[in-house]
Amino acid sequence: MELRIENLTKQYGTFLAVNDLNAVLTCGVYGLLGANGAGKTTLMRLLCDIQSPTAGTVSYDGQNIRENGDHYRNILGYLPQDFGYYPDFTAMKFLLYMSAIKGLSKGYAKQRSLELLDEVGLLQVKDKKIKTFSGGMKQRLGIAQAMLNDPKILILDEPTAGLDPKERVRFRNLISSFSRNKIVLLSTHIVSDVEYIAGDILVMKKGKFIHEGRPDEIIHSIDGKVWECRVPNGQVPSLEGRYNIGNMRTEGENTILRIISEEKPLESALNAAPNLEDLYLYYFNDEESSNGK
Amino acid sequence: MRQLIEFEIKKMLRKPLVWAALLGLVSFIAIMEYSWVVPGYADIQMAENGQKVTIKGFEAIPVDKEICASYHGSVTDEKVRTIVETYDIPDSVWEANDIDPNREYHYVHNLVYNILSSNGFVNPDGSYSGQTVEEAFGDMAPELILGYSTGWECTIYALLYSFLLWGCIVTVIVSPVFSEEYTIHMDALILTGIHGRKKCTLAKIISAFFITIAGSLLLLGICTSLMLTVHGTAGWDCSVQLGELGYYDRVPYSLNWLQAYGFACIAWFGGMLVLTSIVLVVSALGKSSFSALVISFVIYAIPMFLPWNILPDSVALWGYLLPITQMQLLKLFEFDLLKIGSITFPPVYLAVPITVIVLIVGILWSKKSFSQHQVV
Repeated sequence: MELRIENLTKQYGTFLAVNDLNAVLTCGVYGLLGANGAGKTTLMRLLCDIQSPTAGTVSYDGQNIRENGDHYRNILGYLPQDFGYYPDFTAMKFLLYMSAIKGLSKGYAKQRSLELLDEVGLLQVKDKKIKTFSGGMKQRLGIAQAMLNDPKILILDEPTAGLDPKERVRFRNLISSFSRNKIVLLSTHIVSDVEYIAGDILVMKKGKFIHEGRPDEIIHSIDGKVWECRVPNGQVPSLEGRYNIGNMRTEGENTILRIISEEKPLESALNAAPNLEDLYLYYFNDEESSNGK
Repeated sequence: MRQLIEFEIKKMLRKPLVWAALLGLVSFIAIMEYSWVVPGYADIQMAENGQKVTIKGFEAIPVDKEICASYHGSVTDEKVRTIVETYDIPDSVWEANDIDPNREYHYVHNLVYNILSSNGFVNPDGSYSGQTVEEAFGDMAPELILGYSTGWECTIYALLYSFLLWGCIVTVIVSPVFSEEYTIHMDALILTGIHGRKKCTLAKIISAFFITIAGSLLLLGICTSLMLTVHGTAGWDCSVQLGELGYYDRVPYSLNWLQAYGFACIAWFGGMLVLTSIVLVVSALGKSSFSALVISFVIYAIPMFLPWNILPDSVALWGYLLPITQMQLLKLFEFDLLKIGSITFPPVYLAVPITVIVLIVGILWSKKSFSQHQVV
């Protein structure tokens, strides 16, 4: 099973949302990491064939997905970043509707919907209208609908956005349990989501993959660029202005800073082992700031 | 497929706005039927043994029919003279809205006299004007049939306005069919399902037409049943030019009420199907359900306010064949017969091929637009 991306490009006017991407995805969980506006959602839409590429192809097992429409959609599960529900539908009715769209027989659809509602913890509220659901419940219903046809390719766009930490953990475990023998592509800008479940990470910036690999491999790319130092509290504002600061912890009169920098920021700074969050800040700090974060 | 159609119908109807609109339509139909058909405005004042007697509503209908029955048939100069001389009512009495109880005539509502009066056969003092039937109606005169046709005429009148309102409601129901999926971002989910682009799209289209056709049949069935119950079939063979309300007295060819009812059905159903097709296309192309609703409504309603009559007939005819103008009937009915070679036919027949063409184009276009929609 192989999903091959070749020279994939999507241009809106003069803006290149996806810029000549190449990748081969096989069974496993892939984390697509990037700031808002990096092109993650556009890439996912191209992979789902709900947007046409300006150039390039996506092929599944050697066949172009645009030519292989129905067969490809039959093995595809997709959870968009933000999607509405029919507020007056119950959870069960919504899944039955999606089952009909996914071509499941009526009897099997009912059985499968009940199974999935149980797995995502919504069985007790299956007859409640979706408009009464919390954001987390809606997201869980979203993953349930994506799994209805037991897809071989599962594409999840920002699935944990808006979830509280407990729900995020639950969600991650859910994805892990579903991911066997599947290609799962999970986009997020929440680092911990992919840190725990992704076997491979694709780091995307300005429409391009800037890193691809296992989490521990790509983390090594910033070896020697993460520093920890203890400074007096009064010195923090000036350092914030000059450096890309990760974690910050106050201990009495001093603050322990985690700084991501090419050069040693202070004499007292010590090299620290980088993690995925550091990597994210290294590449996206400027973009997150410009997005108001 | 059946399951998808059921879902789509439920989605379309399960909206407070739709229910409010349907409730409005039911109320409107009830008012129209009560005012015009069940029992309508039947109101007879007559003199009986020197006393003024007033009969209204259901009781007035058989009296009215009985008066008309004695004059049912072709319109001859002799018949006109007899009617006018029997019931001569000067304008002053009309205006005073009262009768002289010593005179044995029917007043206020007297179908045959009213018809002749409105066609120039009566002088202001109530006497016969001397105008002949041929002078009034030309070549059509020998084919005209006079009689009680209030049931047909008022039913068509009430149905016409009900269909116009039903058109508005169809716009409200159908415009979100595709556009709402864009608005609430369900398009991505639908279009990634194996049946999303074909069966689901088709189910949406079928559901929209099902609602339009079912609603139109229900509307037609209820109103026609009420007419037949209250007024019977009387007057089906009478000429539309001799209707009591006088709306169709300028139809330039021989047409009886049964034919007019058939033509009206063609116009209403054709108009509703064309409207549904147009709204589906707008919905599939629309950016949001609100914009689709506004655009659909504008396309539907605006032609009603355009001055088609200032245009040459050959252009105006196409304006009269737009859904709302077509469903208004009047302009289409008043248009002269069309001629292709040796075949002469009423312009309303053009609604049939137009409906078929727009239907096919609408279905294909909306299907293609939605299935190839680029999710944003």
